[in-house]
Amino acid sequence: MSKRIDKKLWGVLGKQQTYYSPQQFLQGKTKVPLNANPFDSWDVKRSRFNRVDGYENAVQQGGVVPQTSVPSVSPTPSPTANITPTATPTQTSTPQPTPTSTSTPQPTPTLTLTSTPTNTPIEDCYWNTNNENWNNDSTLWNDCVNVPSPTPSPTSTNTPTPSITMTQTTTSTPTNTITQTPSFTPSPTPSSTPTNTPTNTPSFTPTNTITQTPSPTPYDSAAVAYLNAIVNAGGTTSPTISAATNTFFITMRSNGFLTKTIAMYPFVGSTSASHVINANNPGVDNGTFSGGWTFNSSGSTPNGTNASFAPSNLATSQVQNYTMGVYVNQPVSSNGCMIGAYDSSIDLSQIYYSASTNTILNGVNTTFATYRNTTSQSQGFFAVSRLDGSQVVLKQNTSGTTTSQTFAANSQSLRVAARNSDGTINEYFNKRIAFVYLGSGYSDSQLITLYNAIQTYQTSLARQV
Amino acid sequence: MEVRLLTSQQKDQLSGQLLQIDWYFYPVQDCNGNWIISQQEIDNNVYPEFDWIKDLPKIEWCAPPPDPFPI
Repeated sequence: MSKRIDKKLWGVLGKQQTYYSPQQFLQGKTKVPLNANPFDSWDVKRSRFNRVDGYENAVQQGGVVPQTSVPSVSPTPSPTANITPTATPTQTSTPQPTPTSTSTPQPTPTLTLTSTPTNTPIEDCYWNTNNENWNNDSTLWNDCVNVPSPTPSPTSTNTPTPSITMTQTTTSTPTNTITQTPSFTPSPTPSSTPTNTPTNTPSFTPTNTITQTPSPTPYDSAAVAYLNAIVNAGGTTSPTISAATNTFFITMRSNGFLTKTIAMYPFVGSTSASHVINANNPGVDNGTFSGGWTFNSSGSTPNGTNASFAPSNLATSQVQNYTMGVYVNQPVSSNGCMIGAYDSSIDLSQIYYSASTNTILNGVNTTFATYRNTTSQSQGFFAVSRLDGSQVVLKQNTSGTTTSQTFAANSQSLRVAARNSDGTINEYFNKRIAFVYLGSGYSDSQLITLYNAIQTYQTSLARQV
Repeated sequence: MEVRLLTSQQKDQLSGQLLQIDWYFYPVQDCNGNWIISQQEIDNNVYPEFDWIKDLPKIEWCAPPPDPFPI
């Protein structure tokens, strides 16, 4: 062992090399003192402890630490190995100064090490092959000078320290390392981390899925009111019906049609009590059935003999801008009035099917006049609208015409599936009806939009044509 | 299609009466001037006071002449 206090023949773990003090090193000496940086001088090949970060000192040290082996493990190895790892990992895993203080327990020596400044590699008090703490005879080398030597019974004194340290080191450091790896690496293949991998992967996936999924359409208050009315009336609903109804109301509202609606009867719920409900304002202007009807999930079917539906007490004469429409989801084959009324002055409002000519006869507040819409398909959404005192628009689904006609008031109340012929109900209709609409005047394009909304609704209810 | 035959008195008893909430009896005349109600009305009546309609005789429906109103 050298007597120079600024250099040492380092024999740690069998490496016999001359190292210089940090001061000498700065002055041009080539070899970095081992304890300039604990990790820099860590020899993983010789130490019985492994650096948790897997970094090999030979690489880091640029070859300073020789790979030449020097045998004897001698009796020393034990304490050497124990102490070394203790200091090294403690500094590396910066986070935990705790372990050091924890290990403090009994042996005084440990306390000294702990209290020493961190920037000085004081913990790096290596042992040479003679089992001596070579730093002890140095006053300049580093702060290890105050490190008490293991004394006579180094084993007993040192053993507890390293063992405690070891426990903490291996526990804290490796744990962190392993835990972080899988969390950053989505699918680490290694078999060493299989447990962590699956755990992390699913924990991320479901979170994202749940976050994206919840985009439930908010319920329209009017839709909720209508659905509640159906249930209260003993009608049947389902998630499909609820969703379809909600979507319909949202569409109607977004197009500004709810405010144009006087009454509408979607005929949902499969019972007479639920089919009479005015969806636009449940409980107000509910309709009434008369005569022979059959109700089911597809709509309301009149018998064509004495069945009619009074949508409300509303007479078409009450408004100059007026729309009425009926969605029929069975092919029409015989004469019948889907909806209509006329008064003693023969002011007509109706949607009528003439079997002899396969013609739909529409009109709203016209003076003994109808508009003929010839079509090959005798089912779907039939609508007629008066926008003002002169214009009349008629539609079957998306096709139709617009014409001018002078306004003449009709003082009779409308009937669905029949016609109110000046107080007498006749011209009975016998095909299934799935929707009745009454509102203010619609333009041609608005009637198409209205049709699309109703058609989508019927499609969602699986009863469209 | 079969319907149920009513007397004039029975027709008056049923006119304007409910067979269910929001659903009315509606007697009409056939081609022969007979008053009738439909089978659906009988099947769906929920009021015991009208249970007698279940015993009404059945007849074949004959449509009355169309409305003279030109369509």
